[in-house]
Amino acid sequence: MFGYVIPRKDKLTEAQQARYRAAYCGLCRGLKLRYGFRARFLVNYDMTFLYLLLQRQTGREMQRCFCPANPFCKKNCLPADEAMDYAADMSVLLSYQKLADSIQDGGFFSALGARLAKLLLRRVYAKTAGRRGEEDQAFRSCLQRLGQLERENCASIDRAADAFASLLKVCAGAAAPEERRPMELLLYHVGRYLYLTDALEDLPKDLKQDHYNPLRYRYSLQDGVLSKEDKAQLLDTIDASISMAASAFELLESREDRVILDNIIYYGLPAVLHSVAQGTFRKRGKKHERSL
Amino acid sequence: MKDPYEVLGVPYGASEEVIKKAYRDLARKYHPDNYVNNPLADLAQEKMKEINEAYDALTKGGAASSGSYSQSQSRTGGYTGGTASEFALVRRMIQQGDLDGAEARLNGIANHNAEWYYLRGVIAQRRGWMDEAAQNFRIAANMEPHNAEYANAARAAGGQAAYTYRQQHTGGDDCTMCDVCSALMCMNCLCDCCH
Repeated sequence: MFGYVIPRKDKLTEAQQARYRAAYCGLCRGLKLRYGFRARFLVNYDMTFLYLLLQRQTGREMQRCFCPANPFCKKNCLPADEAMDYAADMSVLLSYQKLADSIQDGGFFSALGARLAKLLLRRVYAKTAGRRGEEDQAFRSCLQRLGQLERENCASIDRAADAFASLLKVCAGAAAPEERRPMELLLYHVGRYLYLTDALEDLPKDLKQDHYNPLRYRYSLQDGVLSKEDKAQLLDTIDASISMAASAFELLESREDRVILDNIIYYGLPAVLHSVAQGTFRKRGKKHERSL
Repeated sequence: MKDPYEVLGVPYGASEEVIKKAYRDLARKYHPDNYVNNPLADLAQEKMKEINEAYDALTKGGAASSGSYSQSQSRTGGYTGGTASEFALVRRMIQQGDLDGAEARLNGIANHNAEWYYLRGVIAQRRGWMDEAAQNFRIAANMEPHNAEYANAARAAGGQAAYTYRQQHTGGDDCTMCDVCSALMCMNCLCDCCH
């Protein structure tokens, strides 16, 4: 996945950081319990956020569990439950669709890895699709719509982002009925943020490989870069999505891990956008992963 | 009715000072100004009502009403021209959430004045299409620079995020002249909210 939805660690206490790690490790373990070892590779930060967001139970204790990445040191994990299972299933569906997408627009060799991964995950995917038929259907139709817009070289960043944001919005189906509306808006705008931030980060690469990127058609690029004003405008519109997401988040009932969610929305998302805009994101991202 | 202490998030027997502060913070968060053109405006309004009631209950019935924030006032801009009733209809459709219908009706109006662009912006914003919303609001604001509704919308669609978290995430480590300016702009926004 993208890895853009992460907290700002320096604004969390040690205990809160440990709790976030336990959610991440718990999701990894949840994937394994549900789908076997190879599903572990699908764990990601974005769906850890979804798990924390959907988690409404309180008093969940961390457990010690085995981590294959670090076999001599047990990790703290949050236990598997309904919210965890849902986030795990969505990780599978989204990752699988992403692989299908990179096969479609990658060259022969870059697509080779994706083809292999897709082959290995085929059975995992079939199992998930059986369990979450509605979501699977909705994801595929949203991505079909996105593919159509890509072929038309759609110049509206809103329309392109809408296709992807609608996909994430589908996950609001797992929320309690009274929280459905705020959750839908929240996920829609997190999806919009993800899509546009990704478009900004991938712009140089997409130009080089002549792939579709909405920014190419929405703004007039000079030597392959956005002008200062255009970039400011783009950042403003992504900012507006973060702000909408925050306004929706405030209308949800409070969660046990509210501090972490607060941190992700108010500090994490803007900080990631900021570093993507400055071109320093991946360096920082790797550092984050190492220390996790 | 919910437990007022729980609504305000204060411990039982909290002092009036604490209650007041909690109330102010919450009221600022859910103020209608923060939910202008937001599809969840009605939920925020409900929340605001709950907070007001809780505050009134804790400060011994009614005494607080002078201090509590008033409910959202409906802000409808001045209607001009012969298509006024058409625009009013579009506004009503938007309010009812019929965005496709409102768009179709709007596309049928030949008079593309500032309000036309403004309403197009509102429809886009309701869908979450902030880029198209900002473009339309800017056109409306340029056509009628003195209309406060359009100017506010144009500002909000662009930089409304600024004062909610910008100053939080630009930590002290990388403070530039730009941050000073944006801090001043943020303060300006806050001042705008008050009147």
